[in-house]
Amino acid sequence: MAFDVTKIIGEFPLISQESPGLHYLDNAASAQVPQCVIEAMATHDTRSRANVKRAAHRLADQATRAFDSARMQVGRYLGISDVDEVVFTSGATAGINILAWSLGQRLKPGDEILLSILEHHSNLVPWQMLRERTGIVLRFLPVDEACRLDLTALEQHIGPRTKLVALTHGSNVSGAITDVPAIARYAHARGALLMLDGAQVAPHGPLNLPSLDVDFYVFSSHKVYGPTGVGVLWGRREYLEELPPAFGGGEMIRSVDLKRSLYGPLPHRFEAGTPPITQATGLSTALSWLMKQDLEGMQNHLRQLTDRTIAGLMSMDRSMSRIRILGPPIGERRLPLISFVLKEAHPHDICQVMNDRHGVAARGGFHCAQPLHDFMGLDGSTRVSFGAYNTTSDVDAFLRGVEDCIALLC
Amino acid sequence: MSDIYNERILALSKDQTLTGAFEEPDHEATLTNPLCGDRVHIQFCCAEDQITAVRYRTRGCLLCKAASALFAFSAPGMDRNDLLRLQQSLEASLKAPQGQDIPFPAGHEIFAVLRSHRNRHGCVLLPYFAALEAWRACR
Repeated sequence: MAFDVTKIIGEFPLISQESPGLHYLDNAASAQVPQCVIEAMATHDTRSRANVKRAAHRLADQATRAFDSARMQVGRYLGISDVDEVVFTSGATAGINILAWSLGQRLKPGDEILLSILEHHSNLVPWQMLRERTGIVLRFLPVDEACRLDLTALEQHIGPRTKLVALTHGSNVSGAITDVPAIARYAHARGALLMLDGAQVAPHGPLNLPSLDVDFYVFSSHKVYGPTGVGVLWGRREYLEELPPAFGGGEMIRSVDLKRSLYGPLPHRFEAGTPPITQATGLSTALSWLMKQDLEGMQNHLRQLTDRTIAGLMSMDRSMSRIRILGPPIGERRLPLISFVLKEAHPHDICQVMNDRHGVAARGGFHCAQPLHDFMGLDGSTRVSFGAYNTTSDVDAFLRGVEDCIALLC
Repeated sequence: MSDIYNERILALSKDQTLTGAFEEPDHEATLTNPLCGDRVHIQFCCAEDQITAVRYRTRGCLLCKAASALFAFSAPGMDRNDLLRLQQSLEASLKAPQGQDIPFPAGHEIFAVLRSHRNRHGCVLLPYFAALEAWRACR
């Protein structure tokens, strides 16, 4: 069906009931959920709630089917056929931590992992913790002036001891989208595996992981119009099967005695304990909802909102001496989010004025990307980020808010 | 005008009277709020365990700057226990549960508007925590 933002708004109860007073522009932090996701989870808990695979009764069977079905839906969304490669986690951060712990067991002091200055803390801190435990070396790919990964620096940053390249698929601050094929070719040619943090890219349509040629991928449900508390770690079978589990407990074992345990097959060996069953049904419904949309129309719509916002900011400050927009220039492919700095106004104050006087929900601070802000010499930035239900009215309210901030705070 | 960004808070945030640095402070510390990027560098001089003068450099939001200025004006004459009581009293007043009116410390009533803005409490409290950290880190 053709993209119709008015129809989309009607499907999101929080957006439709708060409209026109609320302009929710914090989708890069968390997106709202459509009614179908809320109903799917409520229906599951009303009619099928039970633990999975642990009892031979009807409800357990229904819950298990629902959970398995959710895994298959994730597989469809990722474009992969082996759904045992899909591990449910509590989110992208958990997925990266699991990978850091498990992969870390196979690394030796001096082995290298390549990250970048662009990374969210969730793709930085777990590797720093691994470094403290094991003595691996972390290297950081630099960024250019538009906060894009500087791929010209790949050669000097990937060497014979590089075991993993772990990068953002798209920056939550600059909106820059990573040129994955180029990095995959380089990394694999030198024997390194490639992991992508897809938290910001996954919300914008189904992926095709085989074509990206990545080895691991993570994303979070709450950013793809799904519930909180669930996410996905995908990994190639040949690599996941060689990794030890990160968490131990029920469900992930083949057998247990007092001396030792034998671990179960994929994906269960990475899903210790009771999984987020209800949440997985919600995620499945969210992905199904997304796949039914006119995705090209949605992406065009989000691009127009992004361009309108950038153009509006630039028109307020033609010399660009007061407003600094981070990330790729207008017209260049980017995620539908804009981080900016308003001279003499702190992001926290900007967001407060936006909220109190204009009903705009924006985000201010480091966005969990302090190294990037340090590199740019900034004490934080203000970010707006668009979702399927946002309109030009939301953009215009935000731009009025910026004018107000200039008058009040500068 | 926003109830938070009222004239008194705006005026305090712009006050530069006690900004800067001493050549030889007796106590100093820097604290940063990692969530929002506010950064406060506090210095003070002491005589007989009482603060005699304060200087600060604050990079941050208006509330943090206003709180830094107010602290710098309020602190002379305080000893360590006074400082601790002030920080605890301010924090308790800000975080008072709905329906409970815990009075603000004298001179700090301007922050009453922040009671319902819990995400901004850290901005106001940062200079006070920085001051306590400065006292711990004696030169």
